[in-house]
Amino acid sequence: MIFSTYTYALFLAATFAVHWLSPRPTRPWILIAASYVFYASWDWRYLALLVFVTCFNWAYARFVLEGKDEAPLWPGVTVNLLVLGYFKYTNFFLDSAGGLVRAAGGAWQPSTLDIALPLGVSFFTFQGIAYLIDVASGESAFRSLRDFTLYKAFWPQLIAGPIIRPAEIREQLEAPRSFDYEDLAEGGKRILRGAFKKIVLADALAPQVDLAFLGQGTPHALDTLAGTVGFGLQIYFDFSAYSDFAIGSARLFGFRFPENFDWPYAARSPQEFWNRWHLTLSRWIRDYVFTPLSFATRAQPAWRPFWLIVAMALCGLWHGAQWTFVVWGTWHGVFLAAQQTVLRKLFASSSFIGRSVGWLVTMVVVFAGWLVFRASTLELAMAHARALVTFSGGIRPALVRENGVLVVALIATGTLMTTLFHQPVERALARSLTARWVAPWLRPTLYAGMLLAIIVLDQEAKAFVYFQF
Amino acid sequence: MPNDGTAPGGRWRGALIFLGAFALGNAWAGSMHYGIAAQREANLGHQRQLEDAVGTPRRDASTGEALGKYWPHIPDARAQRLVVVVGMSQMYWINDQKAGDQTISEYLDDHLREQNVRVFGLAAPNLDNEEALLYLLATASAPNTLPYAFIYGICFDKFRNTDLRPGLQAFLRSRPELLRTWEDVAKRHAKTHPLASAKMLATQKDLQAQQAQGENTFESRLRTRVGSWLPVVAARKNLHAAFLSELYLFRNWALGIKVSTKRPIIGARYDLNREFLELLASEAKTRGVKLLPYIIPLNPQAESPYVESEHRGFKQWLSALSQRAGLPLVDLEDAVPKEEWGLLRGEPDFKHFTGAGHRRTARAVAAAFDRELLEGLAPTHP
Repeated sequence: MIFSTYTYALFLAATFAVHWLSPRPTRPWILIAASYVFYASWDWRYLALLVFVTCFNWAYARFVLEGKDEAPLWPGVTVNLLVLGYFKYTNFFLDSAGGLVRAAGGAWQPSTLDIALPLGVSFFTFQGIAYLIDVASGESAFRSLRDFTLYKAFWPQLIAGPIIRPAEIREQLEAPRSFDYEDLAEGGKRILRGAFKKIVLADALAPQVDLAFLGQGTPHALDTLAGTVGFGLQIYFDFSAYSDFAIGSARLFGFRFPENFDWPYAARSPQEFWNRWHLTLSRWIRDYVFTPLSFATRAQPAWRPFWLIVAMALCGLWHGAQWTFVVWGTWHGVFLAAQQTVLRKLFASSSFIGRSVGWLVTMVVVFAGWLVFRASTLELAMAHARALVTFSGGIRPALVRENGVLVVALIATGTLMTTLFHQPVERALARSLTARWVAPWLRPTLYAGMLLAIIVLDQEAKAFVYFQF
Repeated sequence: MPNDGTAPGGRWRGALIFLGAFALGNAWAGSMHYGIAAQREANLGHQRQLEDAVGTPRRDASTGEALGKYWPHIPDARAQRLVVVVGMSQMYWINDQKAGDQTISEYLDDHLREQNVRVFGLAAPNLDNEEALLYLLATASAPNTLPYAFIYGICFDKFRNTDLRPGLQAFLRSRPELLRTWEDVAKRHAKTHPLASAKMLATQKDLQAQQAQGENTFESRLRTRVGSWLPVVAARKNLHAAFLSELYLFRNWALGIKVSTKRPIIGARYDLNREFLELLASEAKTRGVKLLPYIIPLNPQAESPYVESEHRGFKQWLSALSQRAGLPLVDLEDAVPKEEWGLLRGEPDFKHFTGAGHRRTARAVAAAFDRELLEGLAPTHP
């Protein structure tokens, strides 16, 4: 059940109605049941895995709490990692090991195992690890299994985040919730915005980007450039749309989820980018990977940049069992480390020129990273990078002539929207929208126009990019 | 106090304005929808009249959108020699059409049927080489449609197009055996034609996913049901097409693009189509089908939108491929004189001619390929 389908709209409307018309004590159970229906609609067989991960983390957290300082944390974390590792990385490690053996002169060719990736496994196992670590560090645990089950299974965040920390949701789950018009209006608007980004922007970009990254051909400089910029925008529109759907859907039931994006392409340094892009994952990596590693070597601060690179490489690997993702993460790690060391001055300038240079360098780093991220293999990524540097294929305005002018228009619009003008535009909008006569008409009409555009331009339910992670 | 729609009184007003604006849009979409439906019904009636007048169809008049409907009309290859003629819009579009005008494939059929050779036309607008390959695999998959020869009018410009159009996707999806052949061909050519192979497998994966869901999914039934209440949902595909068409015109206006404006190739798509054509040649040979390619006629009066160096490179590559694969390629670029073309948006039409142009092209094709087409047949007249 993809968020951008009519089926989801029906599911959401039905759950909303049943939930708010039911007596208060039954509401959490309704949300749990709806969440399981939602997950089972993808593949009912993996429902057992979700239930297992939920029960295990609940029980192990109780064990840690009751055992106080003597209960070890690592077995609980390991079980979560084993679940993630088995489903997501088994074939990757087998392939890589086989490659190493062959490079060393051996002839081992491990056969690939037929393991399907359960949707959302990366997210709900990370959430489980975070919960165990938080409980072990003294954070309050969930008081009831019911609330914990809902925390783990609540469908808006189940498949692709935001990765919510227990502390952010526990009180909301435990507190009584009442229907609120503001929640309905804000949730609805957020979902509408998500649908617009997904259907009108991301899905329109997808086929053009796919073509630019078609495997094993000889890439052309302009195609690669357009494909890379297009992918950067596609993944932003796609993933932030998913987050909008998630945040909006949760809001309809009175829950406030943390934001996941904050104008990432306006970032003026790599560090700022990661404070604006996939915020809940950045926070997770910082708190549960980088900080413990840095703390362990706190006597040697020189290790910090190294741990930063390691943490980002793991962040890349989390995205998928492919070396391109590891290289992507490492690439970002290197620039984050550089920002703290050799490039400190470049990104610290407060002058207009200095900030502009910082933005430009950051965008080059980010979009070069997207090229590696999108390419299916490292060889293809290298071929595209070579094409960009050598201008192979020449600089021809071929794409501009395509009916993909839609894409060009989207790229231009998207770039403008997400970078240079968002602040002045927001200020101007805020001024005009508070005007007595314009505001009441403008915003609702705009939303109606967005809804009509969504219906008309809908290409019939394409999966979100982040579902594969 | 300014009211931005969030104050208690304003929130309901905002909701009403939203619903009112949406209702207006919906009503407009409804009028468009019913207008388009009426027009389509009239066109279908006209099409039926034309078909009734000419008798059994000798080409896919749906231009790829309802191929299954025309498939049974392909002459039985077991009873006579079958030739299929494949190509882009030049194959079926007739400028300034007059009574009695026919298309290339129909003129060819008239020319060859006395020799017990029948011709059937399979053409679609902007046909790309993946689609041409599908036509080959589909016809060659059964004895009654197995062509003796596959005449393919190659257009340089179409090397910028990719993907199977929805009608051909539906055709392939509805034939599991053909889909298996598709996969088999893709896998066999994974090393020799990696781009085409990957594309075919991606197409197959998409179609199988659609197949697994079934034609009649809950989602599609729900959309149909919602469409019966909201005309904008029912009309969404027509409105989408109209939007793209307007966007196309806007693009032309905004960028000053004319029919003759230079139209450079796009590397990734060009490479993909080259592989598909090589694969087509290879598969035709494997299946014992004579592939007879020709470069389509172009209007000598129109200013070419091609980048000269790219077009030259394309023809060199095509000649080399033909030599390598033993194909009797002919270049008919100058075969049709300027009098036999029409106009497109006020300029000489670069690729579509009148009925006379169709007749002349058919004669040129016959002159070029008659020996191949009639090889082994006893002459029926001196």
